[in-house]
Amino acid sequence: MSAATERPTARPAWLDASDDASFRDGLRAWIAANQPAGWRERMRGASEEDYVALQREWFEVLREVGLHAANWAREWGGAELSLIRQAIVAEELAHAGAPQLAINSVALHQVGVTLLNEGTDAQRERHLGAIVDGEIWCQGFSEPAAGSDLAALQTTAVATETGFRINGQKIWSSYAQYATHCLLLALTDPSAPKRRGISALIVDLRAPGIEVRPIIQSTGQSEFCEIFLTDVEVPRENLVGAENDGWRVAQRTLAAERGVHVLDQVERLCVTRTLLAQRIEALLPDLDAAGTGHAAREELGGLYAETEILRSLCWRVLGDVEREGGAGPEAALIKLMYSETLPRLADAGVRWAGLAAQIARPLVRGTEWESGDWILDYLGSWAWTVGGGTSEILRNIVAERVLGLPREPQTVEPK
Amino acid sequence: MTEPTPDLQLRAELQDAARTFLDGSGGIGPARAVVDGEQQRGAVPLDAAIAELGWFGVEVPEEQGGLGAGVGELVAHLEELGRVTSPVATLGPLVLGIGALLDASDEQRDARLPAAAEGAVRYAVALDADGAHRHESVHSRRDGDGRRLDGRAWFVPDAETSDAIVVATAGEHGRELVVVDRDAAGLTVVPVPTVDRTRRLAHLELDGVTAGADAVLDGPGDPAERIARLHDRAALALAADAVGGIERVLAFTLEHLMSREQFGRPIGSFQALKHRCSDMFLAQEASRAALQNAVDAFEQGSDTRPACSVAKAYAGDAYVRVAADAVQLLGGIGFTWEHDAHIHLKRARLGQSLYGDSAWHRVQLGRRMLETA
Repeated sequence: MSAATERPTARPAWLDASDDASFRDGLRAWIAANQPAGWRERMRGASEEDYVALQREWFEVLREVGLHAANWAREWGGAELSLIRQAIVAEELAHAGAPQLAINSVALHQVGVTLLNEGTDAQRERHLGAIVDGEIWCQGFSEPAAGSDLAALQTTAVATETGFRINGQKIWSSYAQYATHCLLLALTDPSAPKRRGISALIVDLRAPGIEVRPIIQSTGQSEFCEIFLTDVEVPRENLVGAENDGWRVAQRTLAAERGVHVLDQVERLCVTRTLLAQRIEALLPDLDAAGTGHAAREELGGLYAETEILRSLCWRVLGDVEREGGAGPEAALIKLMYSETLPRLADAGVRWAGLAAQIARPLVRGTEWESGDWILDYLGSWAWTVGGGTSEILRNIVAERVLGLPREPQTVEPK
Repeated sequence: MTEPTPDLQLRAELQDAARTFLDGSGGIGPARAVVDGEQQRGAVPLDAAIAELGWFGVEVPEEQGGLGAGVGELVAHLEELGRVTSPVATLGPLVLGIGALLDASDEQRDARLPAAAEGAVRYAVALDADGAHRHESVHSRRDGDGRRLDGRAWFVPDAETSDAIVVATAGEHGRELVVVDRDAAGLTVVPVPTVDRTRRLAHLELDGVTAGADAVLDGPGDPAERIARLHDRAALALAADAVGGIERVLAFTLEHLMSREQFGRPIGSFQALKHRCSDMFLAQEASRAALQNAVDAFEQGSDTRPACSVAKAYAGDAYVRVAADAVQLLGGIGFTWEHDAHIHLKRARLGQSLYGDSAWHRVQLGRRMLETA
């Protein structure tokens, strides 16, 4: 395999430091020197154009040292870091308050790992280099009638002379409004038993017959979209994995949603808890006068403990991945705990900050659940308890696949 | 003042009439118009309608042009307004303004209540604490026969659309409630946009605002106690808002769980979700009970403070919990602007922080228990 594009800059020495401490020192200095100055102020109430420009700007800066794709092989333009060092990168970026790469995240994480493992040589050649250069992707998985029951999807991909014709509707597709490409699941064999007639396909969103409609969230942002597909022609070589083997391919994509990305967010929680501590500290004279100061202290201490435990769990699972090449269903615990700790932390911020937290302020684009605008972070937290597998489904997975508890009796014949 | 004898049949009729009126006026439509930015801040069309219907006169005695009913009947209206997260200005003029006037002297009541009962003169009220976060009171000093006021008040409901503002002050006369004209010289009303767009709060700046002798709302009893009773009324109102809101949220959640199918069956058939709904229902019933207890305390002339703290803390927290559960149970659509769930959740969150957060109310209750233990 060959790299798709040349890397223009030399690899800095600290990236290959023999010990993790030197790596961390070098990384920290690099972040301090390269992070966009004053970006939070710039991004408060920023326009679409300015937000996309900052995302691109930060992407380019990270790309110079391969940190935009820290886990990708060097030949594909990534930094090819060990898991431990990927975790250090997540920690340092979080604690430095650096922007989050949102728009490129689906491409870099979910799609990248899918194509790397399931894609044809041509697909890897065509897209992996492009992704590392900034090609933006979205996922086309969920549908209005296929959320938790994703296998019930109804978008069809009918065989044609040149490939497939796609008709249907997708929903909750993150960042689709910025994407040029979509990793889509469709039924290539509607008569097959459930899950066995699904294929994964690469869809160019600029093809005729595609409409992308942003959905406004309760926070006022639009980070995901509906995608309407009407007679969209897709060439046969865009099949990812074998025809009708899409469900298996999709599992890999879905698992990637829960991987190192969660570690990023867990480290960002540590930043949020510091913000909370600072806020409470400023309010303590009032809170003590009102008699609620001790409750605030106790809650803060509890949240500190919870976030420390979450970090430890994350590191443990990462250790498993590095040693054994994969994390079992236990990885679901990380998302489960994170997605419940996040709203608890934001909720504490809303309560203790009082009426000041109720004042409407323009969003800071480029922060994800750690803006410090407590009520927006709180409202945004449902992206985690619902998106990427609801907490209810995850609890079922843990109960059935980890603890071995019996499945609920099926009352309806699966298709 | 003493409450009239409760008439439960009247209460039920009034509540029905209020619900019919609000449903006929678009249900949650008016709130959506404000939330979606189609209706600007400032008076909402329904403000005039509820005045015409006599809602401002519910608690006002017949001699002063009102219905002569009591707090229970007020609460019935507030529940209905809460059910549809109504943006109509009520927390200020209906709950606090009328409350301040009802507790005033006979002369003040005769002078002010008739116009207030018609909704012709709307009084907002600026208190000086919201539970945990105490502010410095607006300072009052002698100005001839009247008063000169200086200072700030924060997060005052409906100040922008009021005709007059009753300000809680401290100064050489001790604690007082002083009526200030909305367009008084030296008064600046600064609108505060909140995440909950269905409520309108404002900060007040008073810079040498003068008021005549008749602007001082004197009345029987200790002014500090009268101010405390206004806090009780606010707490009660927020509990009523919560009860109404919880009912609607539970209803649309159940509807969703019964119609949405995944894995070949309605998702409401999954045990985990059934249990959540049961818990939501328990929260609803318990909040209703707490609210009723608080109303009873007013009607029986017993100590309203603990009952209002119980209702405010419990129902306020319950509303947030139920609305949050609804967002979760609704799945993806619960997260969207288009669905009503966030309107309720945001209203619940603001209500939780206004007039004493739950922790503050529980501390008050704990202290009481310890004093009497």
